[in-house]
Amino acid sequence: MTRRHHTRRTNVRTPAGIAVLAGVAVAVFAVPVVGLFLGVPWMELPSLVTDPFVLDALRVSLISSVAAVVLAAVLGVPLAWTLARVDFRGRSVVRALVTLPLVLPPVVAGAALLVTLGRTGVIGEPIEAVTGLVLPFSIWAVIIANTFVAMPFLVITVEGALLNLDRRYEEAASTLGARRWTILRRVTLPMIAPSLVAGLVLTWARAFGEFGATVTFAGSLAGRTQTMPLAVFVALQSDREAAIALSLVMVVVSLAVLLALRDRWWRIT
Amino acid sequence: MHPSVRRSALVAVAIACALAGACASGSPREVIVSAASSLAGAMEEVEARYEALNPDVDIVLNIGGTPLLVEQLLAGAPADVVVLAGDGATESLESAGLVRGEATKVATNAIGLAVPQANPGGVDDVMDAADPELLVGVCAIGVPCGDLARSVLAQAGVDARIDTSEPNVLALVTKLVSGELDLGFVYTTDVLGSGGRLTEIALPSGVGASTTYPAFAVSGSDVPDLADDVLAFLASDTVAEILGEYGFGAP
Repeated sequence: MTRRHHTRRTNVRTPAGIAVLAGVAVAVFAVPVVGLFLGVPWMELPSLVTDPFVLDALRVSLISSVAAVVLAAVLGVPLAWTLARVDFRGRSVVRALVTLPLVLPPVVAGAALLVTLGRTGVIGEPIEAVTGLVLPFSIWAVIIANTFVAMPFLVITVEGALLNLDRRYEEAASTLGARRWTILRRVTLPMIAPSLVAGLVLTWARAFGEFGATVTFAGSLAGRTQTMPLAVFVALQSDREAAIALSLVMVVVSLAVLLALRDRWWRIT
Repeated sequence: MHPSVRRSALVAVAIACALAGACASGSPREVIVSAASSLAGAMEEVEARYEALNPDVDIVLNIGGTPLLVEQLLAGAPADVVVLAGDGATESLESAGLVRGEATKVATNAIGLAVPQANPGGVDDVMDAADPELLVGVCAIGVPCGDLARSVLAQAGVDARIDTSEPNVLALVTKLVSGELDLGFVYTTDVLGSGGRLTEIALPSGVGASTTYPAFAVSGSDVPDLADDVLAFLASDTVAEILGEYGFGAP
């Protein structure tokens, strides 16, 4: 690929100033995590993390975040492809729309979802009238909130990868007689696979940590809509140690996923 | 007046200003008042009234759920005066040495059964909280309005089918006002403060729970004089009248 520059690792001597600032930057990320680890009641930890309160929240979080990733993949990849390959009127408007959830405070996103899809909402009311389905206070609301705030990560990553792709490979495949669907499946997708996976991981991570939109749109009920972040928030009000244990579980699960996938997919050499 | 006398008077004013830290002409002195969510509306009016009487003081309100405020204070968040919901709320702060002097009770607040104005669930009794067809909201356990709601439900012998345990009372009120929930347990002040968008359904006689609101000055404040003054104002008849208008009871 012409655009990728293979930078050879050279032992450049780091200027002292840069090393100090980089060290401070590492501390900014590390200190709160270390502080959390120091606050963990290790003796009670096994009983705390196997508490139904924690397991329920973990289950809701995993189900809703994975479902959001699937939804984001099914809808977001076609959108990214369209944005990257089709020149249509209003493309910049659509791009701005896609970016909106990234800059909106999640609680505003939740409020917008509630006003639209809630029982009295413009879409929510007809939905309930026809199907009897009430979205708020259900796992669907959690999944929708997660998808809304997290899908931009996938669309933006995949669109960027498609724009950077050397299209001569696709053209060569086309010259050799491959159909468009085959090209997409056999050439395009494999070539953007690292970006696609990175986008999926970012989307999952954002969905897993979602708080504001979820609590506003889906409420909070243990075992149904209460995700890990909500459980941390609620536990912080009544049981500090449980809150710290929950936070630890979140940090460990997130780090494990990010590290595992980094080794597998993100290797930038 | 002799010119030199006038000059020394000006100097005296300048010195007094310097000692006090600020004057009406300078930027107002800030005093941070952290208050429980249920007090939001009333405290905004208290702020406006106090600032009208003391133009050189700027009250900065920090509104939040009581447990969150406690957590913030224990973690060293800046505050000069704190008003919390719940009798036990000050305990951990007292043991952490954060309370200067005695806490004064400034108000009480009762829990009530509230429905949206249109009453979409046709709620007429606390027993409706056990109806699985209705969407029922309470505050989370550990939040005063949540604990009080559970006390009311226990007193009434209702096994409620709860659909959401909101992290604070404002979040619950929002979902009731917008008609997303059929019924919820909020403070009577919230019903009054909803401007008619919520209706209170009477609880059975003998069933009820209320909370008190302790106020205190925080030790280590940069403006202890202002904190004391605000605290005295909170205990005044003026504030009692404002609180009464918002549906709070006298302590």
